[in-house]
Amino acid sequence: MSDLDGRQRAIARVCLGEAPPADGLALLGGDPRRWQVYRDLVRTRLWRALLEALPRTCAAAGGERFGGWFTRFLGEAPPRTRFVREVAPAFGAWVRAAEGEALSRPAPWLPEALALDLAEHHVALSDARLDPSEMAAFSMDLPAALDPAHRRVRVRWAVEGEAVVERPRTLLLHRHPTLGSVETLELSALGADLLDAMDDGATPVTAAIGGVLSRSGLSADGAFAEAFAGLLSDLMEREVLLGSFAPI
Amino acid sequence: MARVEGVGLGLRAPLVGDLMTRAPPSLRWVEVSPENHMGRGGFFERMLADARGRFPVVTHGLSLGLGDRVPPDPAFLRALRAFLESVGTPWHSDHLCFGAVDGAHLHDLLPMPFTRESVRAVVDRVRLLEDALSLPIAVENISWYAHPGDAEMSEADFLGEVLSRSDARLLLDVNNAFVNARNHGTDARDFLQRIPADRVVQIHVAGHFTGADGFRIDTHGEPVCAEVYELLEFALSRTGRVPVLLERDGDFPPFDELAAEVERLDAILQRASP
Ligand SMILES: [Fe+2]
Repeated sequence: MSDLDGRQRAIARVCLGEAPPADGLALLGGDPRRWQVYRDLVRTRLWRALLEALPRTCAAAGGERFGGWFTRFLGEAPPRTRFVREVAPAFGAWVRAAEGEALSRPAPWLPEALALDLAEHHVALSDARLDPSEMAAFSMDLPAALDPAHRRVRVRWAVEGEAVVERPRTLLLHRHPTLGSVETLELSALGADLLDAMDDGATPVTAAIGGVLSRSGLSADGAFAEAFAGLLSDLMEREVLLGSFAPI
Repeated sequence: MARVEGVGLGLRAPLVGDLMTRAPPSLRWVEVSPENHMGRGGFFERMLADARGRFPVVTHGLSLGLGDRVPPDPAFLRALRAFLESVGTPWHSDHLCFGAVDGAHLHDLLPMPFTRESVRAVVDRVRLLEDALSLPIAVENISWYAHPGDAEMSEADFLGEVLSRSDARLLLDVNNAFVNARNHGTDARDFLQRIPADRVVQIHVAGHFTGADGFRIDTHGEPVCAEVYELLEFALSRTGRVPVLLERDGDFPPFDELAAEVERLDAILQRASP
């Protein structure tokens, strides 16, 4: 190992380790308080990025547990991405793997708090987009073209004031067409099923609807047609439904 | 490629609204960090498009770690090159530091030892980047708070060695020179006198934080202090008129305060010989 490698690794261990290692500080020399400055800078920047991206997760886990994950994450699996914005998804994946089933104890809503935070983070940043040359005006006879940056998350719990109550629903997260902020639309169970069926990029909308209705034993009556038209126009206004995929 | 001259400001999300609607006339260009925009849609994509429609852009990297030991990912370099070409930057700068070790990214500007081995590492990296990006690379002197192990030379000599052994240009950060001089008991003017002024393509100025013990940290979160303005004037007396960038990354004041800083920097710049 070269001298330079050794010094760089010592700095990394001082910044990322659970505590600054004595042998690392000895190799680096000088005033240990100045190496603590680097440790604080590195950890503060990453901590802030995580708190900003994962506020529900931190609230559900509590600061102590969240902080414990942070310490272990940096020590065991520090970020391998050059993009700060990708640290939160990496941390989320690490937390899921490290905690496994235990993630839902004692707060059963913690896993979906994490899922919701990561979905919102994705929607805010994603540069996924459809190829305009593959698209056509919306038609019920063609597959629906939905904005690939949006996310739908099925959740069981809802925060109401200070309390967390059981209220299963599906949340659709998308970017505001002009402001770029992340907006949330709450879908009915049927609306969520319909969007799931429509969002495979291949099934024409009429066939997707037919499948959902027959599975749920419903008929396409006037009330359904009106509700479905309302959902489609809402999704178009929000620029989640962008049109149809053109026939090949 | 639009000509970059005069005073610029770092493109940051909290500033973009004011930047687009009421930038002072002396604000002539913006500095953009590719890592904040590459592969990112939504607000950041629009912000960059708006800024590019109005100002010339110079790029300033955050993650190339000119002292990193592991070669950068070729896919990232290809994407970076495409980004740099798309914004028409005249050069790409990054820091004379390391930021990743054995694949772990620490997301900070970590200090290189002032040694011959470090010089070789940086020079190799600069060459690699020049080839991969087909653009001049400018290295920026950083604020450093501790030196790892024993030094074989001074910071000015280290910088001089890197520049003499490579084609790198220099992005001279006057605030960093000031912070280092105060923290390590050296003379910032002496440092500025010893660096090769003809290699400077751009200057950074910023504010910093001073702790209770007098130790200074480069935060870009405070106003530029009087000594740094004076030091800028001194630096410009050596380099001649080069583009000057105001870095502000946090604790954003009312925009008028930043606009006043831009105006003051422009007045200093106009006094420098062309
Ligand atoms: Fe700088």
